[in-house]
Amino acid sequence: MIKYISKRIIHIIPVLIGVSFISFSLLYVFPGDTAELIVMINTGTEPSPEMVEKFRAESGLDKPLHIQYINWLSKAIRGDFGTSWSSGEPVMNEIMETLPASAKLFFSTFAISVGFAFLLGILSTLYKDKIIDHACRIWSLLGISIPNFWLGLVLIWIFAVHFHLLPAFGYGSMEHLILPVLTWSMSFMAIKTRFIRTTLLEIMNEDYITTAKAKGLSEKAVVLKHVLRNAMIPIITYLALGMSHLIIGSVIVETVFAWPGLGSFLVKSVFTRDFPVVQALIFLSAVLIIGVNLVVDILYALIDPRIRYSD
Amino acid sequence: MNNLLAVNDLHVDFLLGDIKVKAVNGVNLEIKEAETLCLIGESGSGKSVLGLSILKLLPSNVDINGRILFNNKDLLKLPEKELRKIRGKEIAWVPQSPSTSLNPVLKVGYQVAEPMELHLNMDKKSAWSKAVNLLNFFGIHPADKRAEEYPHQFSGGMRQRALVAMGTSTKPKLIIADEPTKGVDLIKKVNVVKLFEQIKRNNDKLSLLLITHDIPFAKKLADRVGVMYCGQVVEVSNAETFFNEPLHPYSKALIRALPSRGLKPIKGITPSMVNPPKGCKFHPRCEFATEKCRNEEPPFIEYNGSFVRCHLYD
Amino acid sequence: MKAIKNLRYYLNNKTFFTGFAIILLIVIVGLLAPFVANDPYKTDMVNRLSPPSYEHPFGTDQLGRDLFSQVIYGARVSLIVALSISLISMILGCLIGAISGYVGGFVDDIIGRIIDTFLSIPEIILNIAMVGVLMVSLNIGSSIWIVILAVIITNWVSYARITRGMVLSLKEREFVNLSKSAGASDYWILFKHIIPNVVGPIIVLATLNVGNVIMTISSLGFLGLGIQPPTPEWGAILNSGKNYLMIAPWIATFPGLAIMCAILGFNLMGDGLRDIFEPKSRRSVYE
Repeated sequence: MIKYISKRIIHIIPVLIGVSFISFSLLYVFPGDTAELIVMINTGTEPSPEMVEKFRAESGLDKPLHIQYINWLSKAIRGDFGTSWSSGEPVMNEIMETLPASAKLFFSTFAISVGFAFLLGILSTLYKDKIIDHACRIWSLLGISIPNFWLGLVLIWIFAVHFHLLPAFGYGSMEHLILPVLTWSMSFMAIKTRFIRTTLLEIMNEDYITTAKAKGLSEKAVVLKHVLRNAMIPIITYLALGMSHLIIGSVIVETVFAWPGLGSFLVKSVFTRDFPVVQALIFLSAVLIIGVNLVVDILYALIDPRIRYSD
Repeated sequence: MNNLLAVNDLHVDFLLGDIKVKAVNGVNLEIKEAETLCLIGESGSGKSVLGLSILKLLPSNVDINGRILFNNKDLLKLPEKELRKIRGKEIAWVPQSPSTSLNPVLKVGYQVAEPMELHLNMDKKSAWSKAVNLLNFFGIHPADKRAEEYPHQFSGGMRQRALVAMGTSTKPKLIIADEPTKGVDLIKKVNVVKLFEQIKRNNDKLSLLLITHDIPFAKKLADRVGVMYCGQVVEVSNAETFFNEPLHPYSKALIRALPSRGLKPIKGITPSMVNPPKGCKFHPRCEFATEKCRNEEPPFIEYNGSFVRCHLYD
Repeated sequence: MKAIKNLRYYLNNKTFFTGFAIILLIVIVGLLAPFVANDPYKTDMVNRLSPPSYEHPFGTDQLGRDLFSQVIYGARVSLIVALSISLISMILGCLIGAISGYVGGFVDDIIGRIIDTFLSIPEIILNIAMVGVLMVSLNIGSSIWIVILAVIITNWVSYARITRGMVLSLKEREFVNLSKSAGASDYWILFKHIIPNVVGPIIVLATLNVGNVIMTISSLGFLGLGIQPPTPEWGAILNSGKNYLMIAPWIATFPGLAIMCAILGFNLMGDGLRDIFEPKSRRSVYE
């Protein structure tokens, strides 16, 4: 098993490097002179050649590309992504300040979605082809087709505008959390329910499930004792991969509900052309996903006895 | 000897879209107490389906009609709750494909102990130690360590023995074994024979329904032999009759096809289960076929202590 | 391959048929836009923010523009842009994936890593960043071309990953080895053996992908980073509708409904096609 884990770790190193390279090179893929561009953005005017040269020397943009990359990377590894062009604050500080808001939203949504997805998936499997199964499947299909932002607006209109039950925008209390979580959960849940149901059904068709039934186990016992444990392996993998989906939703949902998280921070930074922030967010989100995938791979190895006890 | 299990006019149809496959097409069969009945037939003759339908383990897209009597109860009409008390306790199933028939993520010991926990009201610990004993009895050593392992760590033969241990654990009255020698090398088949002989020695009141296409294997273990063709039982004889003077032309052809008897192939092709031949299902391949055979389905009648479905004995 | 030629097979599949019907409807409406709709650009400040009525079935927006026309013409925009993006990404992605998978070795290692790298960055973040980069380098606000380019850069990877995976596994299959030992050239193997097996799943992927792309471009539009007004784009209309939710909720309603129908249509088509091209193998119980 140690071999399996070390293989995985070795595999991700080039990917990490690739990701860092993409983040770094964002500033350099433009036609035209980077230094000039940056000065223009920062000062809002057409820069004079002296200003550009001064800036170039100061910020190290006159060094060869690979030296700049190494500089950027060595700082990035330590969490130093430079300073924001719009606020002047260190990028990392701003990210850390914004993080809790995103984390709150993320964990609430994840917990609720996964819980419901499992519940609906299991119900769907136990009562296959009955009404509840059809309802779940239609729900899933709608869930992946509804745009997050539209669903959010619809819910805002119903609950905030029409019934005045919940606040529409903002951040602060539990009530502010409800609508964003509801919106975000619905689409995330829909995707996961479909997959959980499919996986459970596939496993139900396996030979060892017939063996289990032949022993006289009830349908419920078969699903809970025999099916679920096998299903965990692909499901956990899929849930982890779904982190990517989750982050997609975060940008939209935060924008709709004016939730001051990292998603809206990213959008704002793109509008203000604040590239150090954009670079940092790209790099960090990729590191997060790679990290989660690695953890899942290790978890996988622990859960699946075929890997745990292999030579 | 009493009948332990009686199958009356069983019909099992598989519904695949608009196609109906008549896997079991009117079967009458009896299994007596303490006897070993081998059900022989080619692949696709319906013998596995018959085995599975006794315990109602077929998928949901099937249509089952007929009666299966066990202990004076019709298994097909029993509510699921009652049936579950019989499954694994009175009637046990030993599946084919040991590689896919064990749950890969549960320990072997747990899977062998499971029927005992369920049916014999044993607690986890006692069931586990009994399971270890069983594994030991069937030649899996060291049993206590092996019980803690997972199926992929067992060899094919070991897995099969674990499945057998699982099936015999509750001392059932009837064990249905599906193709025990499938995919087993010729050399290793001897071990399978020994395994079943051991099962019989361990429990002399046990009835065995061995479903197989392996005739030499059946010869070693059978008290009686049933032959299935195209979803029907065409002959039931005691072992001596069957292997020396089989009645049904298909049985005769099967015996002649054995390597030891000349390896003579049976002419013709396997019939379709969707559109089976009219009249006697075997007539297209039968050397004794008459006009009557082409038109009239022969009844299943008794003849000299055997049962046969053939106009020759009408 | 026979499945492709049997038209009746497609129409019989309920899922596919429903999806196809929805998309066909949208396409027809889009084509007939000049005849059924008015000018989506025409402003009319007198009638701004008016609710649905006979002249304006979907109401008007904050500049008095007819929303019905905007949604209808928006169908054209979304479909054309999404289809072009999907098509180009498909060609690009499949080519790269197939070459990588077939050639193998060092080339495959590198391209495989590149694919992994792109996949590690969440799609929307990459899309937003690309739009940002293009906006800055061309020194303009976002536009239809920026959106197309940005999304292609992100989208080709899905095709490449699947194609590469399939080619890699097909390469090892027996019928390929058999063909090779019979003396077949690489081109022959590629065209006669590998591509026919790959076509089915790719078509399924492409259909579902168009739905995804529509979601992406409307998301970008909603964030203000996509196709800009006055070009009628569903997401962008929703973006402006967001600000008038209290007094003119109809602005946000209809474009969203349209997006949902379009994506639903493509998802249903894709699901139906998946059933056709990759039927779940039935377990044969009877032996």
